[in-house]
Amino acid sequence: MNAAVVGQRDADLLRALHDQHAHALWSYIGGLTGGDRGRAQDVVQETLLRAWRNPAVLEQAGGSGRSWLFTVARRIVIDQWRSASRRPELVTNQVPEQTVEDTAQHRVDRQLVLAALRTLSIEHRQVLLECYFRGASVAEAAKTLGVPPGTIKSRTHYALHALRQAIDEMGGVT
Amino acid sequence: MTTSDPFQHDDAAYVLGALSEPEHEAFEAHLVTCAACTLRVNTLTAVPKLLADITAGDLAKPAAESEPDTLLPGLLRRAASARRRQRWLVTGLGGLAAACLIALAVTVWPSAPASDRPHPQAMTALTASPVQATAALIDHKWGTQIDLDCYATSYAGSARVTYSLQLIDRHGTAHELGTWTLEPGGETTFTSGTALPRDQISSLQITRANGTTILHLST
Repeated sequence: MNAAVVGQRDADLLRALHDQHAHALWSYIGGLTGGDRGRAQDVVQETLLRAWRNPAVLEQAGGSGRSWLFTVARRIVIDQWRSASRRPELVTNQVPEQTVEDTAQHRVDRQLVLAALRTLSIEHRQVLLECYFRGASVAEAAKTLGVPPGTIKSRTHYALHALRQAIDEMGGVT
Repeated sequence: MTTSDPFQHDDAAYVLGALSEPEHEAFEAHLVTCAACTLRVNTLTAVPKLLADITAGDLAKPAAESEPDTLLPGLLRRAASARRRQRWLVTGLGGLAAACLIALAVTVWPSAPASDRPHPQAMTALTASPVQATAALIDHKWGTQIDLDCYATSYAGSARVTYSLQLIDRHGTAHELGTWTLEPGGETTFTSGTALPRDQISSLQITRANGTTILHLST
């Protein structure tokens, strides 16, 4: 039904964009809209619509073009915050009145890192939890996780490089 | 080829500060002689800083729930309505936009009679640029309101570029109505105005900070 309205080619392109990117965008934007699923959906749709209007950008951006999509999504969210901060009645406790810009940037960066962390395997997250968040040494982490120290080293190696790559693919943080 | 450098996986434990004292010293001594390990360390040095705001609790949280089923149908619906608007815009502009080439930029175009429902008109590109814009002119007793919607359509590096909206009056004098910056994928909408009535406005143009005019609209 909808396909008939937009035409088959458009519908196919939109469906492909959705299947390829909607999940990653949702995971990112979901954390930025404070549990407001309607707003998160709106931002994801707007982002995919812009990609659909300009399919060339995804090709130009190289790879999956995900970095372009994340940049667009981030801009939409920040713009919404900015206009919400100009209309005091819409300001919620999500956005402190002072330094909206800094806070906004800070929050999108944080959510991007979280979204990137979620792309890691369980083993990789586990080893980061031990060696970074709990401050364990290689030897301590090896004991906790019951694997040889060499495995801890190689897991932290692959985990951090994978995290770095995921962050870059999402457009990096400022 | 590098055949098993015993230190090749030590980079991450090193930047996380998880190596023991002797291992740490041995690895630093190795770094002086090994470009590959130095490069790997350099790639990772910024990562712990990025994790500074994340808590162990964040990491333990389950992955985000999946996107709702309504997302795709809604997307198709919005695309359909965007298509309809686009067709309307193209029809509304007719052949005028097509004929609106650089040669006409200086021509004083007779204004169409003020319509009750002004609608945005797409500005014509004068040069290859990732920026597109629509402008709507609305008559008021005090003058003319100009609504601009400008967006960068393509990925053109990460630079923010400054643009300005100029109004050219019937005498060929340029008036700046506003400036803004755009980054790839960015969009700016703003409303500005002029005391000039519509029939005193010859054209609108968008210029880059260096003075190059990239978009034009005869009114």
